[in-house]
Amino acid sequence: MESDTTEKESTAAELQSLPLQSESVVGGKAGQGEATPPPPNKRQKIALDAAIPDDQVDELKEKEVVEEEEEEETVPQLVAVERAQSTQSSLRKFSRIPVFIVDYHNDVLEFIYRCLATRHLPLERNILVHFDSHPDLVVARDIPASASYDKDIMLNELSIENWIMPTLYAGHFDRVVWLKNSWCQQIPTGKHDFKIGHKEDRIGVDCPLDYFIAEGNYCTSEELQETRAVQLQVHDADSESLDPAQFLTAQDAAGFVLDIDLDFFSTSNPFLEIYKDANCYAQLTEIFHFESVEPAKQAGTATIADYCATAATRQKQLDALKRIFWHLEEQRSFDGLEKPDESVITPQIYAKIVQLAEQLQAKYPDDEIDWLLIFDSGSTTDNNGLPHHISTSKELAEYFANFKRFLQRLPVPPVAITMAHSAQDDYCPQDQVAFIEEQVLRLLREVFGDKLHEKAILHYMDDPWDVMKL
Amino acid sequence: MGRRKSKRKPPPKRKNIEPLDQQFNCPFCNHEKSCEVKMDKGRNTAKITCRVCLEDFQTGINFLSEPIDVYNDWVDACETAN
Repeated sequence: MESDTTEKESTAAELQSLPLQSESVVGGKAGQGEATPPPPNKRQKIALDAAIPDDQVDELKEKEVVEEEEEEETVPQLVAVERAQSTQSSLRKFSRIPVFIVDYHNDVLEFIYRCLATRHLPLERNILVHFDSHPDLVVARDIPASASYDKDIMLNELSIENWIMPTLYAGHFDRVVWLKNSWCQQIPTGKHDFKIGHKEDRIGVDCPLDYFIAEGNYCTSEELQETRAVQLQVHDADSESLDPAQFLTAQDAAGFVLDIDLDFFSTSNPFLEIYKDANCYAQLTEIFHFESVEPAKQAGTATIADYCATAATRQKQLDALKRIFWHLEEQRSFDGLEKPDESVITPQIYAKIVQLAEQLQAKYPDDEIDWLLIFDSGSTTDNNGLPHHISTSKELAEYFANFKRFLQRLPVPPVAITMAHSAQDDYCPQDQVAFIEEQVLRLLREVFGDKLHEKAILHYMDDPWDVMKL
Repeated sequence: MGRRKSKRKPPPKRKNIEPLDQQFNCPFCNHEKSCEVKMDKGRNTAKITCRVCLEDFQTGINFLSEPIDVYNDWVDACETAN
């Protein structure tokens, strides 16, 4: 947790032992060879700053009191700015690159928000370079867009899969570079320029990728309000041709965050284990399947109407499936369940759901079957699904080499490095995460040397931290 | 596709994010915890005032700013001036 800045307060104490300059903004009398004078009182400060004889100070003091009373209820005029632009232009610099390590990936926001608040990062238009086996670009359905400006909601309500989009919506990042290994297929490689905004206070994007359509996050550009332009780049980090100069320049020096999820190096799909004896995940993959827009896009025949139609179909499908699974959770059988519209859930798919239920009930006691979990599990199946790739030692060595090469090619160092274990919920294998962390830290040290802070902040160990002391 | 937190385990206990300091020592009169901050996030401005010696300082803020950031800006301004 961030600790009190006792250092700043002791700095403040030191300041008032300095000899004070007569023309100083902060006031005071110069006094060469004298004992350190006490801090000036208000009256002395006025006299000193204005170099006005004492007999005229009282008049000035009255004037000041009147002015202060007039100002009491008003805040001095600084330009009121729209959205979240800072009126402060001076950025602070870390003495060394800090490394902030969490378990749940969304917890890195705590650190990023403090960097934004203290102006160690500009408030807007930063670039997030995101090593991960997952894009984490889902939009939370139950969090309003406007909450993207409410730090407390963000820190308490976001989760591992949806922590990035609010930062794009609020403008903190305008570019995300997802670096993955080639066995991750959730979003195709390349540059994806799109708009992010809101529709009825829900974040949406006009990017017609399956990833967004499947989650109900796609909107047409016309439907979106208060939009910002963002760019998503997706690259295979296991390609030797990966060159960070493709997306980073010297101009990014002040706003580059390097974010590393350790499951980038080795990842499991924890949902594969759920009700494995009933072959649950494979059956869910069939039940939750939807027609992708990608073939039509690649053929050049897809239209916005197609995207909207696919998005609408997908939403109806998910709503209908949710109704079924919620009923099963409540009633523990299909009795009383209103049959879904056959254009949404075909009889063949409905039969698959019945079959799944029979197989689960054959293998597991009824009170162990969690239909809400099964629905969530099905929601991850999608057309490209969650990756499952537990890396061998040889593969890990290769990925570490790729990572080091990437770091060595960086045109500028990052301002800050955030890192996530993702091990508590079994994405990064728990028997590998410590080793992977150790290697990644070693590589960072090898490449950045003394530019890197000597000690990482272990948020998952409740290490105290203060961005002003880094 | 979006990954989900596995629900096999109970939801993680949310860490208590400790609130940051709200009152500060005055860099002028050195009274402890005598300075209070008024934040106007609507106008992106804040003012810190010492209730003992009445020194004050104004600065720009953003919606993520905390009172301690206003205080730090003040101390930095004092350092720069000195």
